[in-house]
Amino acid sequence: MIELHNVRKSFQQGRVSVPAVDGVSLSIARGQIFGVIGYSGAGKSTLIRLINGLEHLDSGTITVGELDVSRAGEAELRRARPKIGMIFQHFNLLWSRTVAANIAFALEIAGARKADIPGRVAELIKLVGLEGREHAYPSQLSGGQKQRVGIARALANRPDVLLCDEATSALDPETTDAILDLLSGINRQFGLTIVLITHEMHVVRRICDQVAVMDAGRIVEAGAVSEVFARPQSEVTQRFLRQLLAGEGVGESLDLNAVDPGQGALVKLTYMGPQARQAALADAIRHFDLPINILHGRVSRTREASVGDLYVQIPASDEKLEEVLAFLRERDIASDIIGREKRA
Amino acid sequence: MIEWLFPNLRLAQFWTATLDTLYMTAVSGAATFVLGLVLGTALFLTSPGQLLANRPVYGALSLLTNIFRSIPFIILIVLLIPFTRFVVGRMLGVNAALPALIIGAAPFYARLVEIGFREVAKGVIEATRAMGGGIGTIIFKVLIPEAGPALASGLTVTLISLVGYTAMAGVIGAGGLGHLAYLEGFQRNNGDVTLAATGMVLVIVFAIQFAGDLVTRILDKR
Ligand SMILES: Nc1ncnc2c1ncn2[C@@H]1O[C@H](COP(=O)(O)OP(=O)(O)OP(=O)(O)O)[C@@H](O)[C@H]1O
Ligand SMILES: [Mg+2]
Repeated sequence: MIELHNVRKSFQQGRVSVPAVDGVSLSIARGQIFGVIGYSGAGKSTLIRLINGLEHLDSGTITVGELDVSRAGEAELRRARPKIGMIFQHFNLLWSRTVAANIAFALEIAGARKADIPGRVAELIKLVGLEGREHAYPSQLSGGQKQRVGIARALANRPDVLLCDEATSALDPETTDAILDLLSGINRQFGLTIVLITHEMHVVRRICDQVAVMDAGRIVEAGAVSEVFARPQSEVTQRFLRQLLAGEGVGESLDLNAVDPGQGALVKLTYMGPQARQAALADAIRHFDLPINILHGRVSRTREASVGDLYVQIPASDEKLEEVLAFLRERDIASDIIGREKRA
Repeated sequence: MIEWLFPNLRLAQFWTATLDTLYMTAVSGAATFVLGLVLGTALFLTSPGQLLANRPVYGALSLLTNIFRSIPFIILIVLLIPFTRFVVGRMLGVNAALPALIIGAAPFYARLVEIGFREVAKGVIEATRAMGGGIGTIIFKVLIPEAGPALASGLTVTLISLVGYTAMAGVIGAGGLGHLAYLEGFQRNNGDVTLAATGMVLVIVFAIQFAGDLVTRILDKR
């Protein structure tokens, strides 16, 4: 759906030319939720603005569906943009218009017939769950509601692609999850291709299928989310992974002295890989008929797999313990034996 | 009562002068609004970092507005006498004041328009472009409505200066309350006429301020 080939873009800052996007190649399949994660200044916003031609590239090629964005003229780009929705960190609504009129704005630009606008606006308001607020002004809405208006506006012309530039970065964690769920639902319902830019690992983990890690204008790593999480190659990815785990309280104090060594071997399980599922532990409990006890830790779900650490106590030793760990290993759950069972 | 307070005031004359002042303010105000909006939009769009950024054009427009904004109004009137003769035909009467009023006020309002547009968030223009909006959409559906309160309060300030300008224009024979105060009041030593004319100017200024504040408040949805 979206192809970038060796895309470069630099900005003139005074006398020096700063490369913001430095030879990026990406291939984003139709219907995917594709995340681009990177720290501030990595060039993410520039990259996403190149995709809808708000910024012109220096070299390389970009195609979105049938459209060669890198060659298209301004008029052609303008005609194509209603089919490429975009949402923003700061929502960018017109404060002089009501919710309904903000959504209608996208339809007016695309040249919709006047008579068709109210019906379509009502549909969109329902889709994003803003019934009853259509006559409110943006200043009367919460951040999450403003982003819902932004999403409705971006979807108004039934786009094939939705570009999200830090769409949840101005929202609190709960609102972030609500908006991410909405995006994920829209992706499933309409088969929309979503490109999502963020500096939060949590966002990628929660809804992305594929992820590209960006650093200093380059893609340093890319692939399925669970793959990239399982085998972080670059230093940046590892930093993001630590951010994710730290954010969820894993690695905080587990009081080893409080663990009764008589209850089994203390094992640290690491969920990393495409097969890792939270349910695997329950399967092991059933399969071996062992009361495995979870002591500490957190496993977070990505779209296809789980990541994180768990400290568990397995009431088994030697061969039986090895069997259990092998069972888990097959399901992409690595293990470290921290303490063996001691019988009184 | 009125005759006792203002023994030298001829009501018909006073009324005509008031209407003349209102006429000059309204016509020059309307023209200033349109011209200032056009010039202000051009200033904004050609300024660095904006959609039609163009240094030479912005520089030239900027210089022009600054020159006309800095010339004292009374001197502007005199400088414009040949131009006014050419356009209006004669140098007397209310219409004679209009070119000077408009040329004096439009650059001032243009700057206020430019400042108002600058307050419109860059992101909103970006979002409009991302939806496929062109320059026309940006001007008429984003900049002007979003800067509505700033345009209204700027126009209020401009109209009030215009009332002051009409009074000055009166001195060179353009009619209106300034003319009345100067000719009938000052030169014939009728203090009461000057006072009445001043009172009426105050009433007009207060009314403009009140209406302007009201419109600004209605437009402001922030
Ligand atoms: N219009 C511009 N003019 C000059 N330099 C720019 C411009 N836009 C971006 N840059 C530079 O390009 C680099 C990448 O910027 P970009 O906004 O794409 O980063 P980002 O990853 O989106 O960062 P953030 O997370 O802070 O939004 C930065 O060094 C920035 O200073
Ligand atoms: Mg950015």
